[in-house]
Amino acid sequence: MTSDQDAVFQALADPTRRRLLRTLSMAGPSTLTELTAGVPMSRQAVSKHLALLQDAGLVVGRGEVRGRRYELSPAPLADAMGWIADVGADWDERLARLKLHVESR
Amino acid sequence: MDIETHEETIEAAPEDVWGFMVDPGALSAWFGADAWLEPRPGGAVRFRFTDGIERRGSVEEITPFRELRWRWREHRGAGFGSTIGDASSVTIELTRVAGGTRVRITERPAAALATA
Repeated sequence: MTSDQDAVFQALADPTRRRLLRTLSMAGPSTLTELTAGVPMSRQAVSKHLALLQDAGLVVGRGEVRGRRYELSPAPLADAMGWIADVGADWDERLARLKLHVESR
Repeated sequence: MDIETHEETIEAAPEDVWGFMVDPGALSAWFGADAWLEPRPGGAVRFRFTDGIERRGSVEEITPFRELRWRWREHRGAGFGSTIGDASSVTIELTRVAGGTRVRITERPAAALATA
């Protein structure tokens, strides 16, 4: 796992940020005002979460600061899922091997 | 986020399965790696795989015959140009079931645990 992925997992560990990602995936590119609507949270708080998502490469902001639109950038998410799948394959294999070793004792 | 958990039922008592987890020789055979695990909280954990990659860390929690949790990270190469991966946490839980032991293994990135 790279430290880029570390940033991705850290970003995903927070429910508010997961909700923001879900909103962006359903609504498409959105402004900060649109993302703050219907969320019991200040503009600043949402903005902070967006900054963290951008640092992790999960979200990209486009346009001038005023009216900037944020959109999902799914590649790092796919990489993170790939890591989980790789680790998963290792453990499935190890579990099968453990069963073999213990039962053949 | 959901992180997959891996499960298998083994036809042996939890005590027998546990023996495999805390004995370096058995652990080495199980992982197909040169393994070392000191079965106490804070004890050293080290796996050297056949491809030369090492995973090192320490035991975080240990409840004999029930649960073992360690944290490790990957180390590739040595000296200049060596790389160290991010930490992840491995939990192995044993539960006695009819006909044997259910083994449940979960590995989660430590980053996902920090603020979860």
